[in-house]
Amino acid sequence: MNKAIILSLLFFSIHLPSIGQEKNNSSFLNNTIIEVAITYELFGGIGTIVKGKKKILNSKHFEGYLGLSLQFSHQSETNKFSDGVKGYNQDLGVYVVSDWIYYPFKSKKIFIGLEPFHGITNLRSKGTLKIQRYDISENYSNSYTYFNYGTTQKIGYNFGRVSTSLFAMISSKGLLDNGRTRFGDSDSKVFFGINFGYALK
Amino acid sequence: MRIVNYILIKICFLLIFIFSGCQEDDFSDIEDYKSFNINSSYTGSEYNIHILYPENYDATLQYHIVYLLDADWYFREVSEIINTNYKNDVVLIGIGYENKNKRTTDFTFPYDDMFQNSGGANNYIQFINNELIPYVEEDLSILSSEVTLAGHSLGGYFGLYFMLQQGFQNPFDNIVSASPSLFWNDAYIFDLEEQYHSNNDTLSVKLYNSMGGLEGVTMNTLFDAFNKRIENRDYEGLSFEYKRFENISHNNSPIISFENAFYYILN
Repeated sequence: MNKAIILSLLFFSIHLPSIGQEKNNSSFLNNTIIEVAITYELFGGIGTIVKGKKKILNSKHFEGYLGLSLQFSHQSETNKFSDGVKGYNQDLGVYVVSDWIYYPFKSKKIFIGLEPFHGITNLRSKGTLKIQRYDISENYSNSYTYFNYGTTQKIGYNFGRVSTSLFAMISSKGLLDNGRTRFGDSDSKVFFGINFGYALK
Repeated sequence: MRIVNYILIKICFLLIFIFSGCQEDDFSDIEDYKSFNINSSYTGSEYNIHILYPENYDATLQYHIVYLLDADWYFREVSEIINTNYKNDVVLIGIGYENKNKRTTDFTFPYDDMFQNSGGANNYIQFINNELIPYVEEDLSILSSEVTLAGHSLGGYFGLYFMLQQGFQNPFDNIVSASPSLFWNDAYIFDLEEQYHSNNDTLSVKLYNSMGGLEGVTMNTLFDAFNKRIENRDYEGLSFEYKRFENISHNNSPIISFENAFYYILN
């Protein structure tokens, strides 16, 4: 329980600096970045993440962003573990993200970042099994929507307005929900990927 | 200096994530706990055996003995279940590994070329039947009224394999199979059950089978198919219960499965 309280406070305190920022009267597109990522799930599955983020902090070595993220991943199970199976698992997630970037050098080219996220994930499974030699035919479908949270860790490089980074998006749900700790399980997934960002103005 | 501080903070985050996931394997703080090592001439492995004795253990009495697979991962949590609900009735014997974990070898049959060194379940059965159980009953003089085998994932598959194979004696009155890996070797377990059924009308076992609803299509469809097959056989002497735990993932299923299984078997 103490671990849960400490980690919850850590996650939400990271978002606190985004509150109470000075109102920006210029165009909404100022200091806005859009990102698109290709993901690969730890236990198989490919997907994509789209993000829109607004800059809320800008200093010599640090930048901070607040925004929204939409994530989708598809994992086929067709004949993956056993012949006769046709099916898939899909994740669809919507998250609030805050992104904290550190530039070790004044040129602000190389960066490392930590991006906590929290929001909703829908995990859907659907498929069939047929074992003809025993006249077996089964269907299965399931949909589960849950509160999901974790961090994305990344390392990247800026090319002017364009940025690219490698990242690991790690759900922490398995740490705090009274279940057993389960890194990379179906409801606490780990995604690796490559991200491309574009600063609109 | 600043980058060093940032890296240290990053490492702290990683450690929180990673080490909170590690299951300790030192159970010496558990009351009424003992352990010993046993080398198997059948498997060539050294096993770390963990024993939870009942409160006020009496060597002249018979107890229900539960043999737990993957004890390195589950012994502490299963001990809590036993201590909470069955403190006076059960001896829990957990089978772990002293050195390298070889569950993919020990729990599986037949060999699958996707998994090197797989297919050693028959050797593991002989270790249990001819080395471990005799040591427990004769050297430790623990008397059994009933014997249960409990496993999860590949361990759950092993329990079903042990129950249905006909090459070696099955000493277990009860089998707990949590989230069994029924997909092993293209669902070989169905072939094994077919062979068993062609030779037997009886299956004198109390069987508990379970699955998590988030474990995907393969695991859940095979689970449904296997349960229907067993039910439709109408084996004489079989008591059978199965349960799907909604919104439970693979690594979240073992303890809730064991808890429900023990209630079914021990009450």
